[in-house]
Amino acid sequence: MRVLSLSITLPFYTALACPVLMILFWDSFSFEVFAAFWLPALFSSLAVYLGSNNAVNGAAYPFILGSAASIAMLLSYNYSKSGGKYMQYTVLAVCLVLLAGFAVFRIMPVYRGDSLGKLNARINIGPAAGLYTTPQNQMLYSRIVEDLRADFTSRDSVAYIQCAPFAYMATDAHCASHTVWWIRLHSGRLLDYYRTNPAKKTEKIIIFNSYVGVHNDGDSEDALIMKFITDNYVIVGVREHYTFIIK
Amino acid sequence: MKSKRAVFLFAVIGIALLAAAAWRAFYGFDWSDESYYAALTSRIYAGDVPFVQVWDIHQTSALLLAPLYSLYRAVNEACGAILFFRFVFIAFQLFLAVFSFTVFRRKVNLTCALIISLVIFIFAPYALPTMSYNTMLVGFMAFCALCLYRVDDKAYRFPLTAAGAFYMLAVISYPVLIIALPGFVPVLILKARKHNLFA
Repeated sequence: MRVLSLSITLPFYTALACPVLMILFWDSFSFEVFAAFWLPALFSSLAVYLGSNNAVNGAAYPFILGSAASIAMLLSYNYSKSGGKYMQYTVLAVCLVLLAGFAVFRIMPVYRGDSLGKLNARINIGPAAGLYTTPQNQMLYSRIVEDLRADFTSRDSVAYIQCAPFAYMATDAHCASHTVWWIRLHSGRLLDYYRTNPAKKTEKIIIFNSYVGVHNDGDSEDALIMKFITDNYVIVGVREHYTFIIK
Repeated sequence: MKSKRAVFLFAVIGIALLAAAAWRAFYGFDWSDESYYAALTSRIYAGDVPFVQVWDIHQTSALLLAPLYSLYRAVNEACGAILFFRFVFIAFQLFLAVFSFTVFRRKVNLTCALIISLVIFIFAPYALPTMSYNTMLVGFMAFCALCLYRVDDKAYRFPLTAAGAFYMLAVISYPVLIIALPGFVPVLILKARKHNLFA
């Protein structure tokens, strides 16, 4: 997680060098580079900060443009001045280390997953086919996709409760919810959606067990199922990793 | 550093990075965010009406990806769609890196242009190397900034128009980005003064 966090914030730290270089080398500083890359990066980062719930760290990535400005300033200054070979190679080495850092942070971290070395099971079906993951994830995912394919065809419309976007691509069934992200029943948005899109209303609901996907930190599957049962739904199938209910 | 040596060294680094990115594309399955990007595009492809039947806040980015996904579906099922988007991202980054190199090469020294383009190539927000509203935001903003940086006495109409088009694509990818517009005002003023544009 620490590596992933660093990979997100590295562009910001690199971009910070640019204003420092501006102060140090005011006379030879390229305001053109600063204005073309650093300022748009700053405003983009602000936009991401305002448009997401990932806080300041999560909004750091647009500063990759600012990082480009920092590198341009550093190397341009380095080659334009007679600082001597030693200085030139030192600065070049710093930039190469930076490039290596970006490469490591691209290759090594696995977003919400185990380390690369543990990803040795190949997925063969569904939208994730061709990817390697942990044997546990591979078994869980494959079983869910197989069960969903047995339960639904292209004539069906289905809503998946909990956060499991992959399921919408696992079969040819139509999406019958306002979002393919996390459906939280207490928000009432699903009901609002059916009111404004009656043609989308489905009687087929899948409630995944809480360990499927992420973000499922709200109601347990049992509590969710009870909510539907009190709304006249009945359970038509209890699969290994989800419950299929219908009205 | 001598030009030929620099080109050779960075060509080797570039090929190694490309190979590493392609190799890495096969590893890791994310249950949430990455699946969401693909599922959202799949939903638009399936015919759900944006803003009416689709209420996801990131749906505009999926509008840009839906034509590409349609091409994929013309010859495939949804099977392997996540891997497809990862390779589209690598191609997108490669194109951006080459464009970045050609622009910077005119303004700065060779080594500098090569390092910047490689950094731009290898970067992926959140270590999620796929087409998404995050990566398209960065990519299109980079294209936009590079076009503005490219403006000079001889070429300004096309780069300025292209910059506007790329900014539009960035805003479609991430609508809140509309507030970043003031960030481009200083470079436009600098360019207008330096190259006597709009006179």
